[in-house]
Amino acid sequence: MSSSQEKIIPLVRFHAGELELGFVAAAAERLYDVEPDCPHIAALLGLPGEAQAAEHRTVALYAYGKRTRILLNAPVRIKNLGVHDLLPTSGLVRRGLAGATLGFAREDQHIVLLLDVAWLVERAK
Amino acid sequence: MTSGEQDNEDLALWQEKVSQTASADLSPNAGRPGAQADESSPLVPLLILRVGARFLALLAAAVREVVLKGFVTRVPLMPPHVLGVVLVRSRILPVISLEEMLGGSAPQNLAPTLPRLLIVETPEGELGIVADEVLGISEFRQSHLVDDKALPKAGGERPPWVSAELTWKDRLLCVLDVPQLLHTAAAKAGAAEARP
Repeated sequence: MSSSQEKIIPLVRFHAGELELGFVAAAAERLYDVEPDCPHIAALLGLPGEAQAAEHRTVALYAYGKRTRILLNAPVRIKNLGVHDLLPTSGLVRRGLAGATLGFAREDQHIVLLLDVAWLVERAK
Repeated sequence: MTSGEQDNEDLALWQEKVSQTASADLSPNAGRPGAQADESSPLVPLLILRVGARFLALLAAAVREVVLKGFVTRVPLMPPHVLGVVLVRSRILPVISLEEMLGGSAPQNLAPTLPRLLIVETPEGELGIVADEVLGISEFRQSHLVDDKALPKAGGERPPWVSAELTWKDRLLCVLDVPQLLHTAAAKAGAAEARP
């Protein structure tokens, strides 16, 4: 397969403190300014201390017939994830992952945690 | 008693003392009635590490490599003993803190060192274990590594993932049972996930 035919997955990329996070952009319906009463993604992930940022954005998510809105730390970007960026995980790692994390990808020198949107939607409700 | 007889007696006492010391240095059952070093038992290399104030060992053959502990990426909602994951040669490995599993043991009178990450091979994949210091490899008699859980313990229950206890350089050395360690870590992770 040539590189032009390589499968690309657009990701919504953001951070929570030192953690680099992302989820599939197909699940994001809208991205807009701060909306009150939305939970912050860091709180959903059990990292309330990582919600501090100069600015926040609200993202509307849709998964498996359910909708929710959550806050993310700005900046929020769309980045393409190539198959070669995905990091293989052993059974030991997969077994230890809680519901929130689907897997990992490499971006430059960082490890990006790939989040499960369905889990986020369920948790935010 | 002549001076020659006194010298012979001193020599015998010294030899007995040396013999006892040598035996105590290697035998996990020193002081146990009937315990004798089995010289015919094969030697097994153990890698010795320090975690906090504790000295631990594991089969050197199970250790794939030792690297300096770099940045560990936290993974949300994991229990405290799972520090996160690291990327080592394009492999994602979980990193476990034995200090968290054992309970805090603040080191006393020990020089601060750069923490190491031991990459340990298990049937289920590789695992990173954080150590404050790696002290090298020593050989021990295999007969001393048998599970002696039935022995009464002066210090109370020991973790199930400690398969044997030895004396090494006048220190207690706990030998890790890596599969059991994994089992315990997974059970603790499951319990943490089940908590609301």
